[in-house]
Amino acid sequence: MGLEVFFEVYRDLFGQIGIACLYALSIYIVLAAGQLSLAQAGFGAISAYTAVLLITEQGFAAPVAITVGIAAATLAAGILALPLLRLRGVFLAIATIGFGEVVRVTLNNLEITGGASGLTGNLPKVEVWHIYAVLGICGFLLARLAPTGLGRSLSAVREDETAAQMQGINVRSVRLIAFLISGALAGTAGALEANFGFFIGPAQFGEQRAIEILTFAVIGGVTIWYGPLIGAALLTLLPTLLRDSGVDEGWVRLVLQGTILLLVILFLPDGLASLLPRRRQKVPAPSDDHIATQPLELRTESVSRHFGGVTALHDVSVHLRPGRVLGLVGPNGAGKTTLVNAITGIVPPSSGRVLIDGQDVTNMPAWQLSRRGVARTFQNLRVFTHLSALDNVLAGTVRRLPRTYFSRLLFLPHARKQEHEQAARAVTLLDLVGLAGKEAIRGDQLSYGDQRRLEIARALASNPGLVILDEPAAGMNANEAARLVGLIRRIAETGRSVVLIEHNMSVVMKASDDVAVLNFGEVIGQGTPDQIKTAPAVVEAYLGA
Amino acid sequence: MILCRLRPPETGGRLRRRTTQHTTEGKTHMRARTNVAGFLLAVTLAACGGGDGTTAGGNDEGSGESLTLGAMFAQTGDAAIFGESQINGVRLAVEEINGDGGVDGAQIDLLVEDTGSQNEQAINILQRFINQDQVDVVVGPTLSAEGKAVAPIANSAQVPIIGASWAAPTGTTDVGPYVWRVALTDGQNIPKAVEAAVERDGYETAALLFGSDDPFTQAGGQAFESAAQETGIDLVAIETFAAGDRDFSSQLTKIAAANPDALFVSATGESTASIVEQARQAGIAVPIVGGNGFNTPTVPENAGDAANGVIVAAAWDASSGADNPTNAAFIEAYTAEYNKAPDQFAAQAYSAVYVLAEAARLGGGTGREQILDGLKQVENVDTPLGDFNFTEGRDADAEPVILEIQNGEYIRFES
Amino acid sequence: MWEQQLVNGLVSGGVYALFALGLTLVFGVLDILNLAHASVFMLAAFTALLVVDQGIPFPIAIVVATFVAGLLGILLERVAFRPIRDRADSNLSGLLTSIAASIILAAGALAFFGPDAYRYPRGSLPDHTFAFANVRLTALQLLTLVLSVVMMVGLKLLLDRTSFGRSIRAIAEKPLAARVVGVNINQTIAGTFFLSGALGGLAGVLYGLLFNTMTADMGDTILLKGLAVIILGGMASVTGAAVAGFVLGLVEVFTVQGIGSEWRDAVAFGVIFVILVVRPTGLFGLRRVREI
Repeated sequence: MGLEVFFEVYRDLFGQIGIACLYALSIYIVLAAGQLSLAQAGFGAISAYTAVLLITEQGFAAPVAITVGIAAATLAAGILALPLLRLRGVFLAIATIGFGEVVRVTLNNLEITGGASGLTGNLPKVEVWHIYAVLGICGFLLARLAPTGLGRSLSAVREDETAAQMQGINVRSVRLIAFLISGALAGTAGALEANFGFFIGPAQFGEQRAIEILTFAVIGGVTIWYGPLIGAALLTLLPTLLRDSGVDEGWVRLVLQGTILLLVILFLPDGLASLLPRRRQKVPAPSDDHIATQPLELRTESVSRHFGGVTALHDVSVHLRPGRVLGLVGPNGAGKTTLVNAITGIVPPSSGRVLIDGQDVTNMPAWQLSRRGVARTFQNLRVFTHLSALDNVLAGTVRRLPRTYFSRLLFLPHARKQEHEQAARAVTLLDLVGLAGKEAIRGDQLSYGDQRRLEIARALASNPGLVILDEPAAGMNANEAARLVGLIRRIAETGRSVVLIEHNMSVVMKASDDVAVLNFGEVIGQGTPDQIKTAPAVVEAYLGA
Repeated sequence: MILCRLRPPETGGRLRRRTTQHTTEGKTHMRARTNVAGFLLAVTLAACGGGDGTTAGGNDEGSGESLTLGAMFAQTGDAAIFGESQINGVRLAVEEINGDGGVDGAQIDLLVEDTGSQNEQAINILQRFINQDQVDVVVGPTLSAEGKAVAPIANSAQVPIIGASWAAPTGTTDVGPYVWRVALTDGQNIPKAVEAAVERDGYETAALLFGSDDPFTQAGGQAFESAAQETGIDLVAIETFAAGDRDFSSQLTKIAAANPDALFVSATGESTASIVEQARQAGIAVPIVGGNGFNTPTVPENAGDAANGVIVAAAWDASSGADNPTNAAFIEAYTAEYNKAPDQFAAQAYSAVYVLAEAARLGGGTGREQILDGLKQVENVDTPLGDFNFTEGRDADAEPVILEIQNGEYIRFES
Repeated sequence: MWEQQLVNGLVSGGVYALFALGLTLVFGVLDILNLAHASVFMLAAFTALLVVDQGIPFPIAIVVATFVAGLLGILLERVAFRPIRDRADSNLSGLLTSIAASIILAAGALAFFGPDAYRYPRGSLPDHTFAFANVRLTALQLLTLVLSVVMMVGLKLLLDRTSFGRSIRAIAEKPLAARVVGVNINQTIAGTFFLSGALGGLAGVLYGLLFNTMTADMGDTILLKGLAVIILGGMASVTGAAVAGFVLGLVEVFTVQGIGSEWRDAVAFGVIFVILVVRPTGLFGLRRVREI
């Protein structure tokens, strides 16, 4: 068979693969943000029908109609995002499947869309090379995204939303952006699909298509942008491959699909793309430049927090002068972490005020507080487990990252230089906390102690004026604890205020300038370490009368 | 030229018996033609595409030796239940014609592919048929949606394509001169049936129940609505159901309460018998009039006594066929070969093959253009559907048959 | 007419509720949404048919098929869920493996049964109809109502009063603590899947009996209804699933009656949307669901 005949025979197949790849990209971006959205088929339908109707009913030119279709899909994504954005995991999946079905049923019942009979009369205007050109552009745009602020924000949000918030990432808007991009990409796929063939009908945009797109992503893997493309190409080719090798029974294809899916999930959880070699992350040398920070003053005024009938905090007033270290101690359950949650905006107080440099920040959301200059580590580790130590720290810098995306698109050296500088600073921080040489190790492969240190480095990455350390010495031996004391003092000396929650008394006493003692949600003592050590109320709380 | 692609082996009648009533024993019997080695081979050689390089024909002159017929139907997916009958019908016709000396000496070379009820696969298969297998004519696909997707392609490639089951009023035969249809649509059948039924039984009111998300039943529903208007019947209830539904109780309860003189139903596949049964259970004793979807032996078989009196607008006479010997012979041969009675889909697919064979004879050859010429000249072809002709618009030109179900059988409707 | 619709709604609601109970059990214990549940539904219906085809009376077939469905549940757990149980993202992986399993099971059904619709042999099912007070109730409908209520009550009793039930609830609350106090995790989870499969299977058998049309794809529509029910009732609440099942059945039927049958399918989606937006924990749910 000549090459020409080959292309004639497989022209439609190539087009289908390209379109499947576009859908794959559209689910990649939402999965990259940790959202299990299955709305792609629905967005594709909206775009497809809009484009076709504009062409056949209003006589629009194809490129215009396609653009409008994509816009319609993106708009739909924006509208859908409003109620759905706060859903997570399985709930989001169910809701988006429901959305897809609503679209399909509506298309079935409307006269203008031809009902169940679909739309004909639209001549194909899109060639295979159009599809691949668009695919190439979209793929390129996504590929250049990874090390940028948005790219890192996406990974951070996927890994741990709370930690991401504390790094200054507006989680809500990141998820919204991912959703919108997904809508645009799915809309692109749908509009191109509609203009590649002669006919569209509601049946091709239903729940089955949505799940099929999900399987592209699962089989290919979502740890990198081209993963889902592999899944899309493979699954779209499968029926033809089977047909060409003489297998006619449709159920064979289904069994194969299901088995591949199962095997990938069980044995290759990062998908087929993980079999391909990945470029090793380059670890630059540490840099010397320091960025000056202004230490913040923290004051809480009569902060209380109730959970139902339980009073976790009652009338807590503490004061931290700029550049000093405040130790926060108390028995388990005293309310230390609750207080910190109140200060950092994770769980706002029921009453009372939180003031930073005299500004009332009581109900400010966590991500805004973080941009104000507040950073923290967590009692229950919230390291980004799938990212390397270096990437963890870089995720902490997103608010300070220069906008390199457009430079990256043009491969300007300026972008590379900026990223190098950021990485060098990140390495410095890792050195500072004692993780030199471990920059490329994945978060979940670090030891417990190292993970705690990593959190400190990540917290420092955003250049905060106020750092809150929640039990940083947990799991450390005497040597490490002593080094931790030095680290804490150094952090304060470089121009930051520090709140330190700790059980390890020697660490607290040596590292702190002031100490506040909590018991049953109330402050039972506040003063210098020496004063606190001997205060009778404190002694009683710890040792019992 | 290297043969890169392995052609699926010809099979004569892949039998699949199903467990039906208590009297028939039967095992499901599958010919699994998984060929792992062939699959791997195809993977490594997929790039070269392959094909039968030795066949130069398939274009204007025809290969002379054989007529290559590409048959694509839904063997899996939503429409699988119809595709199976169609393939059986096609195979039977090809076997008979070949056994009888072929088309003026040329044997029919039959290629069968499964569209999976998916437009994309139908398109891919068609491209393969046209460009690689060099077919002379195509029969199928099953669904209107698939048909609308492929008809324009076949037409611009100048390959005759004959639909044996497309229900859509537009989007297929109106696309161009190469697209033909042997199936009478509900749009053609239903008005006749309603007319005849009203004349005999004099309804004043009726209720309508149809599937809203299947183009076939949606078109049927529309046909009933306009037929009701034409005959002055007042539709006191219009209800719909979705393709996967099995529970029609709420719609039927509502219909029963509206007290219609008749119940019009446009349904297909498994829902048909269920609707009839459940309607009687809901207390609806009035006559039921159904479209093409009721012309399947499973309806009287499964609905039992509930189906007595159901009036069917059909494209094929499923009754004993005493006055059509071709039909009687077809029914007998089909039943003998496949161990079950044929349905309308089988009959239409079978007839399509005979029509195209006749077209080849009239056109003077087995090539695409010759078959096309022949199709234009087709006149009174003897098929189980009766004496078959095409309309100006390349649709089926025939009188719909009006049947009635009595005691598990189809009989001719007595006016 | 309204009384009849009430009956219609309760009958289909009973099937929905049984099916959803199976989903909710697994979700409550493992935080996994098991989409292969619909395949168990379908296979159980076919099993019952195969049994009756051998000439065995249908009540026995019901029991056999329900039991087989329970075993199928255990098998599913072993193959698709246990290997990923200890992963950090087990709820997502579990959802995905359940999708894979459902694809494979559906393909198997297609291979074995083909696309045809299957029916019970004539005369093997009761066709008695009770007529009273404007209502027609078939024997099979009555059976469905009775069985679904009995199973729901039975399940509640099992969960509340037996030690096995306690183990299940312990794992649902705090898996680690349950292990510490000596609950046999593997056994309890296997048992949970047996129950789940049996419930979904019984729903399938009843559905097959009621509507007497079994096809390889008969699980498709019920799955969406099941999802709507567990969302309405609260994803991990047994009482919620039971109540919400009947509610969905009734709302669907009254939508057909009062508004129009084209909107019937929209009910399930509408419920999903409204609840997820307004009250994501559902009517009875209290648990915060683990996020992915």
